[in-house]
Amino acid sequence: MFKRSLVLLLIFCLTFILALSGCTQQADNTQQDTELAGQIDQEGQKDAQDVQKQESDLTVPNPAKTRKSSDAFVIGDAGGFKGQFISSYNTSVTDAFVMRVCFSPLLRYNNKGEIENVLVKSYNLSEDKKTFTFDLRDDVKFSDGTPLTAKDVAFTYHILADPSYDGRHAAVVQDLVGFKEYNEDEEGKIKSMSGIKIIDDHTISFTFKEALRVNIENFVNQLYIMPEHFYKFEKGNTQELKAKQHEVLGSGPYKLAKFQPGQFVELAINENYFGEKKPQIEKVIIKQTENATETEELVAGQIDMLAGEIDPDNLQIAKDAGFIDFYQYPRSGYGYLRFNTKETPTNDKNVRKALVYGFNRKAFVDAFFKGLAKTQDVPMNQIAWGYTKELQEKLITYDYDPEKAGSLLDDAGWKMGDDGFRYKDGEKLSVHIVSISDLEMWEMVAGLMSDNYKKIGVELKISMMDFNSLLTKVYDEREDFNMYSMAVTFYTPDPAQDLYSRWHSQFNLPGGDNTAQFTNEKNDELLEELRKEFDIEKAKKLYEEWALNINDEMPILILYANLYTDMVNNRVKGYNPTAIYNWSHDIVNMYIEE
Amino acid sequence: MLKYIFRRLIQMIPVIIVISILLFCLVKAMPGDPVRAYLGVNSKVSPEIKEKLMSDLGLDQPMHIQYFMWLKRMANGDFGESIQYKRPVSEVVGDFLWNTFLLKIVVFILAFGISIPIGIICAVKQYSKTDNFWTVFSLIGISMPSFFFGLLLIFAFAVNFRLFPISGMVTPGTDYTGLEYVLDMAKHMVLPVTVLTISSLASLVRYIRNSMLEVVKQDYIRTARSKGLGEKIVIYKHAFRNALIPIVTLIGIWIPFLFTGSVITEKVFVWPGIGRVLYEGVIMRDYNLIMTLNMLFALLMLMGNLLQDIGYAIVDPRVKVE
Repeated sequence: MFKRSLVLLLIFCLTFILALSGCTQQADNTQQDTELAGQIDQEGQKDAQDVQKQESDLTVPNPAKTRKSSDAFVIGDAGGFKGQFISSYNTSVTDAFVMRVCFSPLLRYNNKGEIENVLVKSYNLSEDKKTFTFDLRDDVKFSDGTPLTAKDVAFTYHILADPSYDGRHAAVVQDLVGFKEYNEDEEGKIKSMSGIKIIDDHTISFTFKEALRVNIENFVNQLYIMPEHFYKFEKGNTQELKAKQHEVLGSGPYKLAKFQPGQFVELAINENYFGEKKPQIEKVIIKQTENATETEELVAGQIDMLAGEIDPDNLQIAKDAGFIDFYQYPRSGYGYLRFNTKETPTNDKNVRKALVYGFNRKAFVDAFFKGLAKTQDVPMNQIAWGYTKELQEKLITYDYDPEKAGSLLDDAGWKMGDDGFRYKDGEKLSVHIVSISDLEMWEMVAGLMSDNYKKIGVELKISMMDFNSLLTKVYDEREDFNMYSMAVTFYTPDPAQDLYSRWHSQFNLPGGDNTAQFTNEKNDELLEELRKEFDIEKAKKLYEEWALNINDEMPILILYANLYTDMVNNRVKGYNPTAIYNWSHDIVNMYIEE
Repeated sequence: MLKYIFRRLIQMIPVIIVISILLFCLVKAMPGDPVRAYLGVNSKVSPEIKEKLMSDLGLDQPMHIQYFMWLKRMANGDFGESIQYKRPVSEVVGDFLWNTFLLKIVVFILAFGISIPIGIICAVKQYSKTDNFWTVFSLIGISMPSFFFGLLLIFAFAVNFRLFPISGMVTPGTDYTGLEYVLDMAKHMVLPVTVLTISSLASLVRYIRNSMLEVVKQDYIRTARSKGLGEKIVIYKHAFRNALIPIVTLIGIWIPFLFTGSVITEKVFVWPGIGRVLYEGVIMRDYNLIMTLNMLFALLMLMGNLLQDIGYAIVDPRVKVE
């Protein structure tokens, strides 16, 4: 009891503070807000691949031109190195930058969201649509001069199936034919997976158990090919490999020159790089920065780039400096609150709908992102090709409507009591949210939400915990909460990514990704069909059907789908990003203007 | 003396075992599990593979068995593998520990070097202007949050005056060697050292002042003065030696702090120290990393205690160790 009142008190204080701070900030930034918001309304999310470029003044004095290391392109990143630069053990976003510029994948997405050949000349899919055959380029060399062959490709994919593999990417190979046999053979009798066949030095084929459209994703930007002669280990002994995680020998445009844990990574040009377009920047440095001061570092010219900024205040600081170019694009993902569809009262679809109608998402988005985000009504990646204009027009939009929320709750049998809360069979209508603690954004949501829900007669209980405890709560315990908050990022323009595991009832089990515990027959059927449909136009129709169904069931409240802004010093040009194509994909096209 | 040290070291063993049991229980009592944290959200890895990862780490065993497994490994000098870094813990923490030590040893020297004379002056001239100044200074220093103070310094000296770099330990991409390298690092150290020194200075000055005041009021000081000794000799020879005893306590307490990171200061200045690594280890439930570091800190604390006792014996002739 004491705890609850404490939380309520806290929320009350927060709401009060937010209301106050909201006022002053709004007054300060009105002009900027309307300006930025205008951009989204005009173009913004209608065409997701469209990037808003704002070029700055080249004549403004630029401190980066005179700094000691002005020949280097320095990228600031607040994430953090783990020193896992090889793709089988890569986990951190910062390490992934190094991996992408130092190694090459088989295929990748270009900045139009199309699949592009990297290490392959061509590939084809067999009649039964289960086998991919890749014809590799024969002019690719690793940075030590040894040629890249089909053996290296097979080696890279086999690492993830090794019995002793303890990294997090096993999902890439677990659907290949022969995975289980290879993975369970601890003695090392089985030398390779039957699903991976080396046909000759430059031809390799992969056979999947099922014919799915999404199988191709396992080759696009997924594994970056590692040379067997350098990373070689005995089957069942990934220990040898793990000792080399921080060592780099790849076929990408750059090679690792220096790695200082916790500080920076320095990259130098790989003279043996095979690409038609050669890298133009002599030195690339990724520097560890800190959220609170990184914009100042950019403005002081100590770093040249910051990617994925969302804070309007920081954008303003950079804009005022005068020499920072902006590249603004919709983020590939969203922040959300998922309902637990097994727990009362959110097991009732009308209650879920009422809770979405009853919360003023737009007010939150406007206050927090100052126009740099939108709300969304279906759990789909805003830049995916399945999120079509036709679909968006057909969706029920859950704009703030407390009256509608009230009537939905009345219909569901929750009647307003004398104390301002709703009751059904003597039970109070109360919603329990679990969320991550110490997150500025969530504090704002909680404040607004308790206020909004009070108006429609819903009592709100909030428990805050650290991320890891939250995961255990929603993935393993799966009870004692009605909603939980988190965010998601996607890496492909195919809407299928994660949909299957997040919404199919097959994954509604302890540890499973279907944390909403959502079970719906139509939904399951559509999800199964979706992954199999190879015809994109037909797939779009299926997505539409699926989206409309889930849009009505409402197992998720999507808080925001925001814009990211890459801030780049205007001496660096040639950059063309999108949400799934960042500087580390585009590095060979970028150059420093003297 | 050697015998005494040896006996103390032997006595430490049961203490360490008790500490390790307590720590182990506390670490395991945290909700959340490391495999889930490592795999992340939407990993799509099948449940069988997850189970296999758990059993490979021995996390499916009962707690006491896990503890004995851990103890056995520790006894053989194997600190285990970090779950998130996938490398031996000793390799992961090495560099970071020394970076923290480098920062802290400078702070240690500066803090004691400044606070001892100031503490003495404040005690000798009690309630003077100097004394009042340092009282106010100490109050501000103690109550200033280091995050805020750090940012304040950054904005003043790094952003506005451009005297120092905003973050890091060295300037990347410069390839300095020798003296240039040392100077570059020194430049990066100025601000974090200032924050840490000022915040520790505050309490040290108060501590030394008070212990000195107690000594100054003793009868033998009055005797020394009345027999006509000069003020300097009274203070530095008669009073200071006795005031040193509490300072030895302080130094003993400080020894483990030389290695424990200051998460917030390191974060604000992007100093690649151990604080951040430990913090992330806790977030990720990286059991081996947390246990190793905390055991190390516990051990340092015990060593600090031992050094304290030896220090007493040196400065205080009344203390005899046998």
